[in-house]
Amino acid sequence: MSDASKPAGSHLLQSIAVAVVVIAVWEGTCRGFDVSPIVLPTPSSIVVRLYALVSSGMIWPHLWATLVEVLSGFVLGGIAGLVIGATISLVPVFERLVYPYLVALQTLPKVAIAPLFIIWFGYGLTSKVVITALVCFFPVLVSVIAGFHATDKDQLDMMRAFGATKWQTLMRLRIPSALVLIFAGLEIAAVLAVIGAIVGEFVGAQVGLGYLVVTLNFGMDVSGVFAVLIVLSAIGLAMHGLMRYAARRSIFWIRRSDAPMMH
Amino acid sequence: MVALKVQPAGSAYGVSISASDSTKSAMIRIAGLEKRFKTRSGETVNALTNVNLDIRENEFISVVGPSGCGKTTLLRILAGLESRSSGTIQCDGAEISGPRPDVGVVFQQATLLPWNTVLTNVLLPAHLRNDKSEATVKRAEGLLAFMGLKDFAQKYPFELSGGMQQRVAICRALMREPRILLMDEPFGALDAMTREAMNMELMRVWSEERKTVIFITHSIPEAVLLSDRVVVMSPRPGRISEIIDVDVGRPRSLQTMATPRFGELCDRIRTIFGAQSVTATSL
Repeated sequence: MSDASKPAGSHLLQSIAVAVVVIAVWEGTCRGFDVSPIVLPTPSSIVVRLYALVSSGMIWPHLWATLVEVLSGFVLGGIAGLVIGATISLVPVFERLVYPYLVALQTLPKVAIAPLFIIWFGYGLTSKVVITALVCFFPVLVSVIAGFHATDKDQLDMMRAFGATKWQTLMRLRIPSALVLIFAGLEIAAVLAVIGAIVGEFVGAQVGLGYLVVTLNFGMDVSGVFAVLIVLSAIGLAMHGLMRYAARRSIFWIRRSDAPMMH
Repeated sequence: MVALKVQPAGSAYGVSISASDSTKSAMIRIAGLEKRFKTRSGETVNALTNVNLDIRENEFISVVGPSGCGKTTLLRILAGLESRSSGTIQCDGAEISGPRPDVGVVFQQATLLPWNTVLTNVLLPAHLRNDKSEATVKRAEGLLAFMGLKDFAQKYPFELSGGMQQRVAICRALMREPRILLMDEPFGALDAMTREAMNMELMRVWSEERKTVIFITHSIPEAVLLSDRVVVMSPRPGRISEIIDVDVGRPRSLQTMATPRFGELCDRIRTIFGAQSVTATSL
């Protein structure tokens, strides 16, 4: 990060070179040792399969379903995390009453609850959105609470000394300082959202990329599975990139400073 | 040996001060001020015991002392950020019970809001009063120009050096047109050169906009250079050991620090600290 200014281009070239080498070795090994395509398909066959999935139009309904689940789950879980996190941070009674239960719920592996949600919300979109939202909820919740706790004590004193009301301190100091950690939580949630949606689809679905993976796997179409995995990681990367962009725009003072204020 | 002759006569000296007849002109009166903290282990710590001090209007007072002598606690009580355990602390005859509009505070850290521009940071005290008038913005810009920061109004704090950030913090404190300026080791985090420049800057500000200044510092020369009187404090329990008049004429400059009288005064304060450490080791 620190010395990224000048050799950024060469760093990128090096990364690409590594990828090219890995793919070439992979392709060569598969062909040279005649590895069965059911165990490990060649990169070229994966690309061909991916093209077929796209050009036949077969992938679109699945991609669309998963995207809707990921995005709506992320938004709902994120909003719930923000609202409940802010309430817990700002209303002390809530912290005492609700937080212990939320921690208990957090320790529960969300994957284990997924079958229940299928029963409660059916095989359709809703159950997947709920699972995704739940998976996204916790990192956001924790980061909001941590963010509000991280307000600089000296700055709180400063606001008080200048006669700020509670409301003014909240709006002008506590919320902006909390943003730094909140964005860290949102970034984690954005990546977890894809996992949440896929887990939901694994447990029970009629459409979606997770469902497609299970189906292709069942038909021994391993290169097809790899092709879908590429699409999934592209979604994950896009979500992560989007959050990074939003963070850079919103908390611009973090990136460029060596943070004289945030120690 | 010389050190032992100086009596660290804490309370006795303090009482005689408040009994002396500077009462008429006193703007801030501190009498019998005590502050006790409870530590986690349940024991009581005397952060301040029997502090007596009268401060005149437009006086520049420095408070020096080793860490743990309660000087920051004293300033926080004056700023209304901390309550007292007993005693009185009055400004113009009225008890100080919370932050006051006629007090400006500068902290050790610049405590600027990193998401606001320099100008918005300086305007903070006005914004908190919902004052968004054109005149106020003009005044903020004037203060920035006065502090040599004219071209930095639209920059963000992270684009400024430590010294510049602290100058912005001083502008912000002056924004409220305070009668009293409380400064808690404001230059403690700066390098020696910047620190001297800031001392000169502060003297210039003080000579142009007369204010009552209470200035906390670790640095003995800094205290002597800036002040009319230096309050020397000592720890365990936090108390005033001695109050020293700085009988050095103004205007002062960095050359003042080379005069014999300046050196004598610094030595005298050092001797008080020396006497303290002798007492401490003999205990």
